[in-house]
Amino acid sequence: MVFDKASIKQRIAAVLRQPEALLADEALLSELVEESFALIEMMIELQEEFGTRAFVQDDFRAVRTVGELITLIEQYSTTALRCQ
Amino acid sequence: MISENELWLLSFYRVSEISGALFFGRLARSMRPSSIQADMTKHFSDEAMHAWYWTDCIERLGAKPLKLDVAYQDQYLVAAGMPVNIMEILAITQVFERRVINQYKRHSRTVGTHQDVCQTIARIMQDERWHIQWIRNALQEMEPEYGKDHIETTMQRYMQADVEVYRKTMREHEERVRHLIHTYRGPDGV
Repeated sequence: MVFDKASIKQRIAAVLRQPEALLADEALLSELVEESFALIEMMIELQEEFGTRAFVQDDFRAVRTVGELITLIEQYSTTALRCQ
Repeated sequence: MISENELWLLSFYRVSEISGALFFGRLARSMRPSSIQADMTKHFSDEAMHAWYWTDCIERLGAKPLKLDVAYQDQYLVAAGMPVNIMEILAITQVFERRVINQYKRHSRTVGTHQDVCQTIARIMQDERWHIQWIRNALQEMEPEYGKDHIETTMQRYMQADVEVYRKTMREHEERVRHLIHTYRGPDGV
């Protein structure tokens, strides 16, 4: 299964319970998520959803915005597909 | 009645158990059905029960739980960085559970601790041993996916963070336990 940017953004909106319109690429995750546990919850839910269970902390450390998160998920799902 | 110090400690345990239950409850909701999710479900139900045990214990001792604004879990995230996959979450939980067990052991060994408190700790410790066990098993099962070395390195990183968090955030807990020991045993600690 291939995940495009739109489907990833749609899922992020659902997990964060935020309208997609608020999820501009440059929107800061820290402003969309009320507390750190909600961010962890979001990370796990997205990995479960997109079958990319092994995000690593070093990769995520640089992620600040919605756009950067989408790019990370795309990279991981591409890697997962290559490994199948 | 119990002292102000002991009430703070029991309330601190209660809040910690509530926070643990909520955290694992939310995680379990985020995960697909699996053996890890099943164990996590039992884990958060245990923690919720532990919170109830402390509420009940405090009330049996003739007091009311304090509302504490102690967010030590956030301190773990600051010190260790946010866990971003399920292995990292289980690793940090394993480190934290060990710390909790040591705190409970230390408290229950304090001479003069009320019988109701000792019984509550003993009841909770039975579940805590299982928590350590299921997480250890889950981390072993993850070795092919994440790599044994990577999991061990992650555990080491969180253990270092634990020392840091304990030194800063848990100071108040430590001081209050010391005060209990001082109260019950006298200034020479005997």
